[in-house]
Amino acid sequence: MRLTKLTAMTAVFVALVGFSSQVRADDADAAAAQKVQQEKTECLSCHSAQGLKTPPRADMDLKKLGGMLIDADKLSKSVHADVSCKECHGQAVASYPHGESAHADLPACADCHKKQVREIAPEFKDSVHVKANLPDFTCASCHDPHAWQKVSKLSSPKAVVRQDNADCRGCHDSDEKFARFTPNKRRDLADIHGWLPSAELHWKAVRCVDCHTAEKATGVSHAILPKDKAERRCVECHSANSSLRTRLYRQKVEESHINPVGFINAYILNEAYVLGVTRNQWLDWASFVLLALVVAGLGGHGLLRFVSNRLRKGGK
Amino acid sequence: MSHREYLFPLWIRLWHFANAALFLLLLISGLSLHFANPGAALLDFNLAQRIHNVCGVLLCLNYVVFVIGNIVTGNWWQFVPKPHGYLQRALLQVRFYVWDIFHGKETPFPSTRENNFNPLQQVMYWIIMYLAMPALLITGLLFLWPEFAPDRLFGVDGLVTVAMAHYIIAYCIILFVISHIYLASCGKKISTHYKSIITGWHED
Repeated sequence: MRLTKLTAMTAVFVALVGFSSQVRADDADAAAAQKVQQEKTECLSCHSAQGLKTPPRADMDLKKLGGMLIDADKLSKSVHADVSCKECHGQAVASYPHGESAHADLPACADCHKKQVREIAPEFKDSVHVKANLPDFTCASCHDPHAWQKVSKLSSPKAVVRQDNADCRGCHDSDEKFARFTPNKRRDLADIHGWLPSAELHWKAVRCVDCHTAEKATGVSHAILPKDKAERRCVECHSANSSLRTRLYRQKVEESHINPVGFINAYILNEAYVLGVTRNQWLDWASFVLLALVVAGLGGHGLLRFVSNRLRKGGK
Repeated sequence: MSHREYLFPLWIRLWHFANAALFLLLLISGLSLHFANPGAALLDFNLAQRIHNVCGVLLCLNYVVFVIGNIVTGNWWQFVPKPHGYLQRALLQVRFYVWDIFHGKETPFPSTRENNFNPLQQVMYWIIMYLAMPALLITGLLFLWPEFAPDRLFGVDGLVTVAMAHYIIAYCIILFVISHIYLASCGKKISTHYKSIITGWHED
């Protein structure tokens, strides 16, 4: 009996200790998160459009600052929303003027994103950007670390397309940015895609990488294909078994099992009408039956005319 | 007694056969696009969309020819169902198709220059040419320039409604075309009407 009481008291004690240490850990996490946000607010007090408008200090080089602005709203939604600025920019940014190393000694993405970088490294080597031998081309050339959002966090396929294509077009639609990477002359996107009907509409509806990468079981391949190897067969997307199902709309396909009012690939309808992909099977069947009835009706009429004509002639 | 009359001037015959050829091309390319699939399609998607776009625009131009030609020559009057006693006349024509024709009787409304279409033709052609065709062409043009299509309609992308309307109207017109080709055989002789739309001369 005494032993049982002792055991129960020990259990309560252990639970209390465990609970209080959990509470302490949660408190510590909350405090750390708050500290990160405070730091961010401090950095953004200069490095934002507002900061440039009303600089908190008089001795700042505003021209230089103008090239180093961060969109606070985008940052707060980005994959690095909860990461301290110092995590990448180091202690050099803790005081003003900042040390030279604040931008020069940025850590490699792989320091944190080991698994992802290991996985995509072989693809990346095959990418047109690496093959074109662009010395300054890094992860951040496409994925803006101050803005990039996880695909799963984005509200819709259209939002995914917006984020992805803005990165590609950022350079491929700008002579100035393009020239930062290569002395080659930039070719106009509309010219290169002259063969693609309603090109602008395509660029709003699908990602550049949906045609410019090979399909992959999960995620998107980082082996970006040059134009001569990119997909040009319309039916790859424009068919019932569209490759949109395994690319842009993969997540939606997995979520959706219903097929309202006979539409195939109905999950796309909210975003876009895609010829050959979102047709209505009930309507197809109804039209087939109607055609059969019309042909049978006319055929029957013709047959009756033929027979009655024969009978009349036979009777004469 | 044989009766011979020049019913179809050259412009109507050319317009009619341009329509027919364009419809055939639009049907083949349209089906290729609607049922697009790597193995099953009639035409390659890329080729089909080019044919459909070009023929669609040509069909629009041909419709303009129809409207202007009708106004200039007064041909539009043929398409108007004349209200006085229309129902009786329409029923006579129905009786011809479902009864009289099997008994060797002749059409109650023979084609003449003043009255080319029977009562059923008048109302059917009027619906096709003045309602269905403009709706088909407008939805087709919205497809060609989707930036002018409504952004959203009935809670989904606006092009869904445009596409469904385009398909349904086109399908109805195709059913009309099939019936039209068959019913043209209901003249005095099977070849009567076919000959007259080719030569312009109607003979019965």
